[in-house]
Order: sequence, then C-alpha cells, then structure tokens
Amino acid sequence: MTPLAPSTEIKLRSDADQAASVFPALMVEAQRVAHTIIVGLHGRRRSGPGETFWQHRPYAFGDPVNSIDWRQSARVSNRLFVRQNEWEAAAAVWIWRDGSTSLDYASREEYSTKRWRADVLATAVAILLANAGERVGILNGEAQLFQGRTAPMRFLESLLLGSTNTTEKSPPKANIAAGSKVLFISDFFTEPEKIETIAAHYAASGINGGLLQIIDPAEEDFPFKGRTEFEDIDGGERILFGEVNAVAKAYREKFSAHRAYFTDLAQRLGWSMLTHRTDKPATSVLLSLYAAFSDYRANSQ
Amino acid sequence: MIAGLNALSFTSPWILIALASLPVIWLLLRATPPAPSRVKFPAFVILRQLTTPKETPDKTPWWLLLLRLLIATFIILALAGPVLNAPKPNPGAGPLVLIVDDTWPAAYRWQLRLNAMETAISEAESGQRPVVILKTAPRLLPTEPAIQTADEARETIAALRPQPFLANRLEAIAHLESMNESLRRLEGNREIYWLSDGLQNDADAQFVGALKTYGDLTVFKENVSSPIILTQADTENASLRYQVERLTREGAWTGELVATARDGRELARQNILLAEGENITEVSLDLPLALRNEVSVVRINSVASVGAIHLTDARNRTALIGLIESPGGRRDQLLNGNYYIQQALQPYSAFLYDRLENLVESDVSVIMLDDIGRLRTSDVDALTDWIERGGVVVRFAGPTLAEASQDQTPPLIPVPLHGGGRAFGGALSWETPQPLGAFNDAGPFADLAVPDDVLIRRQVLARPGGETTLATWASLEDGTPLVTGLRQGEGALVLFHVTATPAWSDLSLSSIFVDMLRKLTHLSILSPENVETDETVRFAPLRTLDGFGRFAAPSPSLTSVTAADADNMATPKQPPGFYGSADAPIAINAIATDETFAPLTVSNTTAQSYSATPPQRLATPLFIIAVLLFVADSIAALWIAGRLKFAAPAIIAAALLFPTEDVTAQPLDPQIDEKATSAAISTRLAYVRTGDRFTDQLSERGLTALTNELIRRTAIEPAAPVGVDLETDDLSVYPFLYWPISSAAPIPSDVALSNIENFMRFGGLILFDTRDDEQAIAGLETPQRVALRNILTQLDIPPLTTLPKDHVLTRSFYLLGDLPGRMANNPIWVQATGNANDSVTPLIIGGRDWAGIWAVDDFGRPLVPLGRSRITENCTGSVRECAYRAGINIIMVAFTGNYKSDQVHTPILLDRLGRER
Repeated sequence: MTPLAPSTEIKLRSDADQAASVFPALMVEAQRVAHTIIVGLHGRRRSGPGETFWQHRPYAFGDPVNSIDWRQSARVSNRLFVRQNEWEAAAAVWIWRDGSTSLDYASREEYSTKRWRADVLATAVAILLANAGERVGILNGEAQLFQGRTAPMRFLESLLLGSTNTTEKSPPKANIAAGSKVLFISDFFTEPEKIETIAAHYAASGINGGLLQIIDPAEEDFPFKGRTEFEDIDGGERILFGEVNAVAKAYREKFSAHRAYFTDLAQRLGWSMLTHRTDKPATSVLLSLYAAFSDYRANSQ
Repeated sequence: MIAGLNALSFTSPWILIALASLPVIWLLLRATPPAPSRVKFPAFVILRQLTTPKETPDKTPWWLLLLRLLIATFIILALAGPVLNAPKPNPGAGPLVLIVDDTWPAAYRWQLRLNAMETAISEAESGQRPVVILKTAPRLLPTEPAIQTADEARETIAALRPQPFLANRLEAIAHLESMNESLRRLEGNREIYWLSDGLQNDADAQFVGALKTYGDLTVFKENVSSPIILTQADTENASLRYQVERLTREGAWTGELVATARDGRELARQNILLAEGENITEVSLDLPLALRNEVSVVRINSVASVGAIHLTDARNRTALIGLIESPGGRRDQLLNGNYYIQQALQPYSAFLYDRLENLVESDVSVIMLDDIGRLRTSDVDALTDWIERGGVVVRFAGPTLAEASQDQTPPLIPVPLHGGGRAFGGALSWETPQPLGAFNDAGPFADLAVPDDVLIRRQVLARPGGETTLATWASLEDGTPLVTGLRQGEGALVLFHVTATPAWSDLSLSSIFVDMLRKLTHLSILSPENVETDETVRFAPLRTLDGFGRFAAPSPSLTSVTAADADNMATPKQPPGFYGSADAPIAINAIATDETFAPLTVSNTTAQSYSATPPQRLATPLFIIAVLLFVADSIAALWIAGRLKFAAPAIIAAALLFPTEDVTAQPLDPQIDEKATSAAISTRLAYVRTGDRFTDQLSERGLTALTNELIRRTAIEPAAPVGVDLETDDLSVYPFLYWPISSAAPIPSDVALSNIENFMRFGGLILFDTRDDEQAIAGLETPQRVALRNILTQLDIPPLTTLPKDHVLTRSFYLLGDLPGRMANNPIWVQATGNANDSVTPLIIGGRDWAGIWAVDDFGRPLVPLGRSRITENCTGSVRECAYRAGINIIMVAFTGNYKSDQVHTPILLDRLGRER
C-alpha cells in the first residue's frame, strides 16, 4: 500500500472521526431495531453439509460406506440407512445505500433524516444477517464480505466511511457471484430507467435482490400551500409554483406512478420491493426486509 | 380644527400633485406577487414532471396594499414640506435685534425663548433681514455681538444656554452702543425684540429708554407662568425650612422638594403647594436629626432652573453630638442617660447614634459616653487621636464605670479614680446628700452661677491630689470633684462623676445641666461654626451648576475662591456649585439669601407674550411614520412568506428591551446580606462558631433540639438555628447567642468585640458556656475559665452576680430553682439587678454544657451522657427534662425580657383587687 499524502491522511482522519461520532448512536439504534427479530442459524430445508440431523434415507448404491448410520440400520433388519444432515450454507448479501444528498432531508424536526433511517436499516439488516451466520457486504466496488460477530461493526464502519453527498443516485455495476443477493436502499428519486438497467444487470447474473424505498412523509403527502418555491436539496435547482395546492393532486399521481414503476420492475425480476416512511418506526419494515433476504419466509411456512 | 387647518401650510405644494399617482401605485402593487415561501425538497424528479399551469400571482392582501399606499402618501406629504403655524413674512427691511435674557429665571421655560427666537429669525429670513443677537447674562468672557444672517443666527441660538446668573442688561446696552456705527449703515427701520426673563431689574427703565432710541421695541413676557425660586428660610430648631416663591399669584402650582445627600442618596421628599392667589410658601423637611447634616442638594423636582436648587455645605450644619447605644423604642427611656443628654441639647444640636468607631469617623463634634466602663484599646487610640484633633469627649459615671474602675482607672478618664476596695454601687455613702459647691475659675463653667437646688447622692470619687484639683471644673460642697476635665491637644476630655440619669443626683434635672453641656459643646473646634475661616485657603471648583440646574464639571477657566468669596453672590467668576474637596465642599448658591424678586413691569412699549405654538416642520415626523410603516410592511411580508420564525422573537425582544421609561439615577441603598435577611424574616437561635467541628456540631444539635422543644411547648417557633461568625455576621437579627468557650478560645478581634457589645446593648442575650462544671470543683480555676476571663476583660459588661433565687430566668416559663445543664455544680452568673437594660440580663455565664444535654441525634436519642447533675428543686422531671425547661426559660427571657417578673406580683395584685371588691 502506498503511503497516503498527509492532507489525505488528515482528511481521512477527520472523516473517520466524524463518522465515528454517529457510530455508537447508529449502532445502538440498529441493534435495538434488529433485536425485535429473533433468529438463529437457519437451515436450508434440504439435506447437505451441516451439523443438524435432517433425515435418514435408505442406502442407495454409490453412497459412501462411512455415511451409513449403523445404529439406525441395526434396528431394522436387512435395511441400511444413511444419515443426512441439513444443508447449512451462508448466503452473501450485498447492500447498496444511496449516498446522494437527497437523503439528507427531514421535513420536520421530529423525523429522522432519510439517511439516518437508511443507515439504521442497512445496519440492522447486517446485524440480523450476521447473526444468522450469513455474510454481508457493501456494494461499492470493493468485494469485501463481513461475517461473524464483528460483521455489523465493520459493516457500519465502511458504510459511514463510504462516500456521501454525491449526486450519483444509482448503484454501481459490480461483478458479484451468482446466488448472492443485493439490496438497494434509496429514495429512488432518479430516472427509473437507470435503476432498471442496473437491476437487470444483476438479475441477469442470477442474482436475487430487493429495493427499499425510504421516503419522507412530506414527499408522499405533499402538504404544501400557497406561493412556494422549491429548492433542490443540493441547492442547484429551483421551481416556483404560484399556488402549489393546485398541483398537489398531480404530484401525488406522479409520485404513485414513479413508485409503481419500481414495484413493476421488482415483480418482473422476481425481486421484492419495499417502501418505508420515516414517520413510521424502523422496525415496521425490518421484518419484511429480513424475510425477503433470508429464508425466513420459507421457515415460517 | 379649522384653525388647525389654517395653520398648516406647505413649503413646496406642487409635490402634492404626486398624490394623483396613488391609483397607479395601487395597480402596480396588486400585480406584484408577495415573496414566495421557500422550501427545500428532494423529490425533484417528480416536481420536474409537473406541468406548471400559468403562474397566477397570489393576491396581495388588501391591508398590505393599503399599508404600502399609506407609506407612499406619507412620503409625498413629507416631501411637500408641511409647516404648522408658519410665520407670516415680516415685510420690514432693517435689522432685527434680539435681546435675550439668557438667565436662570428664563431656564424654567427656555423652550418658549427658543421658539420665539426661531419664529423671529424665520420672519427675518423671509424678509432677507440681518439679525443681531444680544445676551444679557454676564459671562466670564463676553462675546461681542455681530450682525448675522438668519442661518448664522440659528447657529448662535443653538449654542445658547441659560446662565446661572441674573441679567446685567445695562452691559447689553453698552454692547449695542459699541456696534451703533455698523447698525446705522444698514438701511430700513430697526426692530428690537426683548425676550425678557420676567424679572424686574434695577435699571429697567434706563434700559427700555435706551432701547427705544434704537428702534421699535417689542417686549416678550410670559403671561401665565413665572420662575419658581427656592431659598432657605430661617432654620428653626428641628426642621430644615425652605421658601418657595413665584412672581405671579394666578393658578395653583404643585411640585416636589427633594433633598439628597452628597453621595446621591435621596433623604427626603416633600410636596409643595402654591395655592391660587399665593406667591410664597414655606416647606419644611422633617428629617431625622442625624440625616439633617447630610443634606447637600435641595431641589424642586420638576423645575429645571438653578433658581430651584439650594446647595448646602458644612456651614449650614448644626453641631452634631455623637451618642452610643440605641434610642429606639425603649419604654424605659427615663432610665437612659442618653435621653437626658438629648433632652438637654435638643434645641441646639443634632444627634447621631452609632458605634464608637463610626462616630469617630463621622463629623460629630462632641461624643457623649454614658456610663461606658471599658473601652477597647483600638477605640481608646482612635478617641485619643480624635481629641487631639479637637473633639470633646464627655463621659458620665455610673455602675459600669464604677465596676470597671475597681481595680485600676480605665483609660480616657481625666483623673485617677478612687476604686480599690469600693465595690460597685457606692463610691461613697453620705449621711446627707451634698449640694453643688463651686465652679473652677479656670474651667469652662467659670461664668455660670452655682445653683442651690442640685443635690448629689452618689458619685465616683477621684483620688485626691494636685492633679485632681487642677482638673476639677466643678466640685461639691465638700470639695470632691463633680466634673473633671482635661484639655488634650485641640480638644478636651471631661468626666461627670455622676450619672446622666437622675439616679445619683438631681443634676440632670436642673437647668445648670443644659448650660454645662452647652459650654462643653462649645469647647469642640470641630463644631460647624469653626469649619474653615482661614482667609488664605482657596477652594478649587468641584462641580458647578448650569442655568438649568444641572451639575457639570467646572470650566477650566475658573479660578479658585476663598471662603469669604463664597459668601458673596454667584458671579461668572464663581458660578454656583460646590468648591473645595469632595468630602467637605463649600457651596455657592445662585441666589443670595437676602435677594428679593419682583415681576417685570414695562410701560409704554409693545408687549407680546411668548407664543406657545412655534412653527413646526412636520416633514420629519411624517418621514418617521413612513419608516415605521415600512418596518411594519417588511414584518408583514415576512409573515406572509412564512419566514417570521426567527424574526418574531427578535422583534418582540427588541420591543421589550427598548427602554420605555426615562433612565434616571436610582437612589442608593445599602446591601443587606442574605443570611441576615433570612434570619430577620424568620427568627432563629444562633451559636457562635468556634472552629472546632465537634463543638459546633454539638451546639447546632443542641439548639435544634431546643428549637423543637420550643415549637412543641411554647408560642415561640424559631427556624433552624445557625452558626454565626462574630466578625462578619450581622448579629442584630438574632435574639439569642449560644457561645461555647473552649480552653483554646482565642480573644476575638476588636470588630468582633464591638459586635458583641452592640449585640448585648441592643437587647440580645448571650449564653457563655465553659462546659467545665465538673472539673471546676469548689470553684477551681480551669483553662476554659481562664479563656472566658480573657475574653470578658476585653468586653464592656455590666456588674455580675450569681443567679438569685427569684431571678426572672427561673420563672419566665417554668418555675425552676436553678438552670440545670449536663452538669450543675457551680453557680451561674448574670447581670446584677437594678441596672441598665431594664434589668434584663444581656449575658448568662455558666459551665453546665447546656447544648450537650439538649443535643439529640436524628432519632431523638441523647448524644452526650449525663454528668453528675443535681436534680434541682422545683423540677420534677428527669435531668434532661429539667435542662429543656431551663433552656426554654432562657429563650423566654431573650424574647420577653423581664415581662414575667411583673407576674411575680400577680398574687398580691389579685389579693389587692379582691380586697377592694
């Protein structure tokens, strides 16, 4: 590794400090949220390499002799049984959290910003997955997966150190192994086609996934009145409405259409699409999120 | 209303045409939408898809439109230059001469003069006439009048201030003559306006005559009001009297007379009423005698003129006699020596009651010490110094002094006293009382006649000898001294060998007493008459008064004055004010005491009264209104745009912080510390902090337990006890002080000692507890006793006696035979009966560890084991119960004095009543 330039080092240090300052609070909240769901190492509901007994099946030709469960076989005359354990495999989940400035928004003081909520949910999912023995990673180009007890910590660390305040609103196209899963957390206030291209790219690689749209209540309800000038969150663009009430209905229609596009996309790809408002508790969406990203649903069936 | 409209005119009326444009402004304003509210919003991807319909502006509310139109209207009106009561142009061509009485009588209504001058100059301006302004008040550096344009004249007026002197009008004539030549060169008829101050001057006829030769004279006079003049009236014995005078008799006038001290404290305030038809009244300020000499400035509150101010200095003061002890509220004042001294000197002097150390610092001329035994060394030194400087100390004998002089003559006594074996109470006991014998020819009483009605029954006796004979100023028939005195330095030290009360003699009831005390008072060179008469001493000006009666730093061109100058009238060389040092300034008043005033009467001239309504340019107020409306408009616009979040609190805060009342100097009041305040509000017992944690804790526990018992059993409900520091705390708020003395107790500082003395003098009760009763077997000396003795020898305490059987302490609440504590072996000492302080003992001395036996822990369990206490007679309870009873009795005495001892006589009274029935 090449030594960093001093200024870069200082910047990195201050960024890290800044990131670390929210770290405990975020971790605590994420953990609180995650603890509402109790999980254990889950089985795959089929036989395979694992430690838990799954089933006995009659010996068939070709089974290795050492797989025969002699004790079981002794109970029944003239039959041999093979002991099979349940297949326990750790899946890999890649999470992308939108780093753009548009997430730094809360319409009222008592709401948390969308970014905070996104970070909490991402970390909570990471905690749950890590507790379930699975691997989580951040979809940022670096192919690093975290596993084990320290996974949530390391996940959150690299999440916070990752770039924010960008204008880039779509996940990167990375090469990840087939069979893993991806989770996109964003408000998806971008052209839906861009997301579609990316999602299709992953789906084509045989990757399952989910979209989590986090929005502020004001963005859905549009509770504005009178002469109002809207300013983009990064201060770039302005739109003035003489009487904003007049366009409120149109806004809500467009908003639904925008969301419907993503729902439709998810359906087509066989992915799941979840929405979450920051005025609702984070736990409300976490269960469905977890269900979608583990075989929890299968378990409960 | 119509008259008001007539009075309104515009300097540039054509601007009013702009009012016609208001409807256009209305339309323009309607078309401009109000500022939008700005919102940050991330969902632009959706907003961008919204097709904006045609942007119709939100309607501006009608009231906002109206507000903006009003702003426009006001600005147009203001630009048009409206003037109320605009002066009529005066068509004359010659110069206009303004003669202004810029004197203090004019200061009272100075604005009228300014208005009249402004009007006159405006008239002259419209006629393009030159203006001459002549000032009649004398000045240190008179300026020559000049022929000026209207604008120059306005500048002159702006710099014109009334002077604190009376007019010297003839001098103005001289000035006018000096510029006669240049005036003559100007064409046209000359007009002369005399803006008079309304006061008659000696040379007025001559003045008017001279003016008439120069041109047409118009005299301006005030028709209703007249200057209010304040002078000091003859001071009668008790109160300061002031005379308030005015020149007219019409209408009633009310005001307020305010007296303040040198440091700005307000001392008194008195209403003044000049009724209809009355032009002179006298107001007296009733001040406590001690405060009277502090009066420095007396002024009529509502009148801004130096004539309504009277300055007072030390020369106006009466002799101040310093006395120790409180005069307050004692019912037994006939037993108090100070009362007789005060009665004797009341008509001639003022009195100051304070502590000795304060008296020496104050400006008293005589200090009377009534029966003070021991003086602390610091006080002795201070008093000796003070006597050397010229003070006179007069001491009176009495039981305390007799007690103090038993072993050796105390300091500050003119002759050695015959103490020795003679115990308290009787220096001598004669067969028959002795009359007054003679006054020493060399003494101050030499010219007094010897009365035959004075009989002396007791006295403290001086040791005979040549020294004593010389120092004897008055003697009895048998030759023993009655009054001895010594001149020391500039002052004198005098001892009356009898009390100031009639207890020992008739002296204080005789008229000779008054004469003797007056003679002694005159001995002091610190008396006010002697303040500073040295002709050569000069006083630099300290603070001078201007014509409005405001104090200002003196002008640097002023020179110092002598005391003799100060008696003269104020002149430009010595303007009224204070001169000399800030501590003892001398005062020069604007009005000499014998000055008389009469209203101005001028005949054969055109008289005009000052107009109350000067021309008023309305442009400025209109602009101000427009600006205020604009601010309101901005706030309204912010409010509509929904951005008033932070502005609103800011505006409200600004409105609240804006001073609504005039900021004036606040009267000065001494600070009272919090501990004293709380102790004064809820009475509580106190103990002296010894510095030993265990002892202090025990004292507090003991007093807390006693407090609880008091609340449980009696009507006294004290708050929780506190520990006090004798040096720093104000003891006067505590009725009772518990003082445990340990063997290591240091002798308190002088401050603490005088605090203790004052505490006892003002009716407090101290319980000294050496807590050594069991060690002091058969009166054995213990370290604690030695420590206590060391402290007591420093204190001025009354003669003591062991607790008598029927003392009020034993019957103030419970009937007890004794006051038992944790131990009870040795007797308790209290003040001997028949003494000062209404025979209520100010101290109890014992070693019985009362706090120890009272003290209980949080659960009511005793903290300290019992000693070998005797169960006293008349107490049937346990030892602790008896101790609580003793404590309650002690506190009862602290609160009620000897009230209960009167009840001793109840059976006899009842018996007597029954017999009568």
